[in-house]
Amino acid sequence: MADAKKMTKQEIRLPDGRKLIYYTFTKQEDKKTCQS
Amino acid sequence: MSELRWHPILEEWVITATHRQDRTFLPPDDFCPLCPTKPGAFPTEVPAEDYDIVVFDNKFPSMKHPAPMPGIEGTNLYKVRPADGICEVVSYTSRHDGTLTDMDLPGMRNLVDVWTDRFKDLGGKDFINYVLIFENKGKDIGVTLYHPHGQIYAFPFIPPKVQKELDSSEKHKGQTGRCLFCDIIAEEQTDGRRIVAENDSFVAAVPFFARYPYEVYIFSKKHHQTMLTFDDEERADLANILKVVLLKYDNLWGISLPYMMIMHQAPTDGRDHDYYHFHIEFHPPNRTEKKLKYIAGCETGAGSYINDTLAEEKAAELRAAEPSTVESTYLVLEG
Repeated sequence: MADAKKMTKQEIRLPDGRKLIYYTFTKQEDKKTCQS
Repeated sequence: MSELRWHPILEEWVITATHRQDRTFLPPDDFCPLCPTKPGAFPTEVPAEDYDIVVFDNKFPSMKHPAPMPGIEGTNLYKVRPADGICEVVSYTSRHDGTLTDMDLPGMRNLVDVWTDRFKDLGGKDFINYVLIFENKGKDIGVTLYHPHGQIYAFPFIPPKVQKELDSSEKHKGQTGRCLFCDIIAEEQTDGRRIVAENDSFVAAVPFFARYPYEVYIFSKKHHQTMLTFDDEERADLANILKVVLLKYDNLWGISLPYMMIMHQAPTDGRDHDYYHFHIEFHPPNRTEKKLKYIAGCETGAGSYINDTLAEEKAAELRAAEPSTVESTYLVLEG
């Protein structure tokens, strides 16, 4: 099974006013590494 | 120019979007608008050097919010209204090459989360009554960009095909007390000949009533109306069965099979549609490796589809295509 990862969203506006959202996924192991 | 024009004969809205005639059409790989923007290179739609999954408003939308007023005045017969909706592009990956089939299982699982988030976000807007998540894959379907991506149309109205499904589902519930789709799943499982793949949460079948030779429906086994009520296991199982069906399609003839993939969920109009049932439809245009089924006179003119094949035989072909067993699908996909 593919486990869920932590999903974060970053919304920006493009120069012509359109919305763009970056969805970024972080492995739980990566998070632990960063915190340690 | 974009507006909704009422079709008084079919009693449905037609989206008029003349600006889309000028949209980007199969640009060279170096000028793909969905690729990340590399330093010193062509500025794409995505102003970042890399990304996991990105969603943005379509540059050539069929509907937009706020919508401009219609460019023509309506009459009692010929009603017009603003095309007040949202059209988004979902770029599955920063990698230009490949297709959704090539995404690894964790990537597919991430995409399920993004779809769910977009459905929640768009469906929560008071002017949106229906959220359609879909993908057109392949030149034969008419894609204008090769980069692996899908689209989301958030409508201010319930589209006619979905309305027809809602009506039949409500009628069936009223007559039997049961969900139409749950009965279809039970019938397919009892018969078994049209099942293509199955896991704990989903079943994929070429349904009894298939209109395209290799048409596949993926049904949630539990009676969900939308993705919003899936638990973690169901989201993972959806990623899994999507990957299985996509691999089977491509392994059928060793080609990247074109298709239309459409996610059908309950409307977001604030009403209770508990008689409806989540499912995904795949409509590949191929009837053989090199021959396409055209939506021709009888289909377009009369609305009656002619399927030159038997669902039972096509399901058997897809069932035999790798990954061919449930056990092997888990082994293959989990590596």
